[in-house]
Amino acid sequence: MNHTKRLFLSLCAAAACLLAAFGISLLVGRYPLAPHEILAALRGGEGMAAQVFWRLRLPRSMACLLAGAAMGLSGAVYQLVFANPLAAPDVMGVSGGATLGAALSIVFLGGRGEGLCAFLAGMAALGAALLLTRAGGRARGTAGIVLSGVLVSALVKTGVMLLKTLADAEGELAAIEFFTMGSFAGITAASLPPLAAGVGLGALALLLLRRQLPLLTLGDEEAAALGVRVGPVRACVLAAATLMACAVSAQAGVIAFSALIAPHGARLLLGGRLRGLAPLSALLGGALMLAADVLARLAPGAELPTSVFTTLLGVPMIVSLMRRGGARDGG
Amino acid sequence: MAADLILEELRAGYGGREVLRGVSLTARAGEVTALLGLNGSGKTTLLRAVLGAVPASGRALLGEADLLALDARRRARLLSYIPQRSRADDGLTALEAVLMGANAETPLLMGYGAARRTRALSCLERLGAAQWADVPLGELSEGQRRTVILARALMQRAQVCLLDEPDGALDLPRRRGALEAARSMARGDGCAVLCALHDASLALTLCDRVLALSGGRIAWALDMRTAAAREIEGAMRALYGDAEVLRGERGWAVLG
Repeated sequence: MNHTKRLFLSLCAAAACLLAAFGISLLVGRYPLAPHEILAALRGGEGMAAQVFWRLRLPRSMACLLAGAAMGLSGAVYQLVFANPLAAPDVMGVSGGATLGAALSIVFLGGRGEGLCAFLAGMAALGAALLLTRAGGRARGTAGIVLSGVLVSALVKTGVMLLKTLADAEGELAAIEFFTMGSFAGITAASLPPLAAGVGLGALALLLLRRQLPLLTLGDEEAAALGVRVGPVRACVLAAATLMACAVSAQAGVIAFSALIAPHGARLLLGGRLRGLAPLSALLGGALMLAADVLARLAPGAELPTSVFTTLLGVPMIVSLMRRGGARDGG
Repeated sequence: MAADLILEELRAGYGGREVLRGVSLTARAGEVTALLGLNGSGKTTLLRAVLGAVPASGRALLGEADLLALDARRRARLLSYIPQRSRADDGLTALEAVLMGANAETPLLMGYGAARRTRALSCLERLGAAQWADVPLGELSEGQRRTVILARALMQRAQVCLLDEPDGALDLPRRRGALEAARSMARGDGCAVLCALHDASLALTLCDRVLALSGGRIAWALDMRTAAAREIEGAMRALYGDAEVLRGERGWAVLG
């Protein structure tokens, strides 16, 4: 099968999975909705079902879709830019950094500028992870980035713990707790505009710079020889991918490994080829996030954080990638 | 318009250690100039200095332009580079890899477009590699991969091409093939090719001029169209010690 056909079929299959997961996501939850109730709400019907659909279910499903697509795309970009299969904003502590930024805004700014604080703290966490990776010397291989991410995540968790001691127990503490869990349970219609703005802006920047992405995989010397202004271009691409990941963390906390799973699934479907990797990662990421959130809502008893299910899928994957990376690094 | 690459008093190094101690040389347009030298003599450093990858002082002139003073985008319009081993992702096809050669001429936010795709295909055709256009680099052999990267340099349409050890990790026919392709680029496009080489036999046989780097400076230079056998033998002995130089029907052989 030639690549164009393979890419087309993969995109169609991923889009179908995404639509199916989106449809199921609209139906299930603590207050299940029947298809005819959704149709009635879409036709302008009123009542409890319509309220649940417009105020909670539709915003939550759309947030999951956007967040999943953003994490998939952002993970694909990180893996290409760092030429490392384990690189992802959550693995490198960037998503954790964003939650620290959001928590800082909650405690010191009354929640104002939450998105901006999350982005700035996410970029700072990325900078710290890169410095630690560079300082790691021999540990710079595939797993070096994970080790740096572990250290940055530990620092971020310490920061969040300190903020919890300062937070007011009535409202702020609960809001910070929510960020640390990685869940879409708190999403309302008001959460969508900042999420869509962050994700849209990041995606637009990546769309404009799409030609530069494969060039960045060449390494500094070869890319510069082909006319890439490596420093500024890499900074713009990483800032765009980080913006998307931070916009997700500012609304739903850290959804662990979501940025790692989708790009690897996409590479597998494409037989390792780069063309079409970004859109396919986005589609798979959206489908994965919706599926994980549906499972979180279907759990018996209390609803579970979405992150529980992405972690259950992500841990075996990261172990397998580390084994492969270890074998390669070991020569 | 073709121009010679002229290096004047080029100095470069790593940390506090100076590797190039004032190198001056000319790589002429339409010719292949080989740089020989023992390991650590600074061949790769010289190429990297011209490329702007290591801090350097002195001048690297191409016509009016000093390559050391240009930014990456402007430099890539004048200068192409073929590394010892390209880090191009295995998931790129040969055609996609060759298209990257058009990056500097394409506006930053635009795609490459159909005309450049056709040109990329003709670059592959010129090197007899059109059949690999849709093959991912990960499925090509090392020699085939190098041919693709050479086609990328053709795509760049630069006036100077720097080749870093095209003889490394290749069998003899492919080493010869890589240098013959570089020669065809020099002859066909009027490009000045400067090539760091280990294989002295290949350098003497296929290059127009051969220079030796030693102690961070140019030790000697040979013009292969005019150099006498005794002069060549003396140069090889000066570089490699007790070397024997033989001349056969197909070229030179240097025995260590």
